[in-house]
Amino acid sequence: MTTEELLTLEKEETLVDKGPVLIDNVTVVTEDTSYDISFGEVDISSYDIPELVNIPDVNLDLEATLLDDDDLSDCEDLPELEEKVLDDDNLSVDSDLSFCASEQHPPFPELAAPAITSSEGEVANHLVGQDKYNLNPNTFFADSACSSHMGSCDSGMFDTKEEKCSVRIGDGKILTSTKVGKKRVTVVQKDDTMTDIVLSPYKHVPGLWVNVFALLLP
Amino acid sequence: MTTGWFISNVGPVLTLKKDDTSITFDRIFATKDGFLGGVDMIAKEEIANLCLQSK
Repeated sequence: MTTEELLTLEKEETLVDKGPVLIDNVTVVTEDTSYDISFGEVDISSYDIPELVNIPDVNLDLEATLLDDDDLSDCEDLPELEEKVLDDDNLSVDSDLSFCASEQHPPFPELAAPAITSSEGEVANHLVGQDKYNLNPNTFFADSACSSHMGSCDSGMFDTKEEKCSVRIGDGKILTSTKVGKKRVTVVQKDDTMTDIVLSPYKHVPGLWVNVFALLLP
Repeated sequence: MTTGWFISNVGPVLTLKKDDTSITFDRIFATKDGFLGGVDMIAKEEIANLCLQSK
């Protein structure tokens, strides 16, 4: 027997299963697999090959792949948006009349609308009354604590005289009136009845965010 | 009040009356602690302008 044959014989002996092997005092058992591995030629026709999935022709037209806003019928799985309703009981007008600029349909173009903050931290830009009535430049609030009718608009004024008068508003700021006089207005009620009246005295106070009607004139 | 106006209310809606004239603050704005009463008053000058524009 040649030396090469002896070496191959030793290698074959090392491949023989020698039973459980101890590694770090743990018995490791090796098991032979049942697979018979052979490298001979195999008849492929005997295997079950799954059929190819029929993929429809894909139109790669880019215009067709653009998302059409009008055709969102396929998005039925999307969760519906929840419409939050502000509860009037949780609304409060900021005591300091802090202003919050409104981008859409501001009641006063040159001024800002008061911020209404709910207890949940939500902010509504518009002061909205019953029947979804929005505060507008023609709205006069009844005020039992002001000394004169006043507003930021001077249209309809007559018999005016320039008189600078300090007007302290709710947040402590002091505004200055430019003129005092009378103002001819038409009262438009909710039922569309109209009444012509004259507000006297009426102070023009630029910067006042709402018109006030003095209930108790001195 | 000192010039002959009378004040009354129906719920939150205040009404001022003098002779045949009445002003009703029928635009109610709810607040946390109460409400504000308002009314629409359009300046007479603005009405004239609107008439001119409509023609």
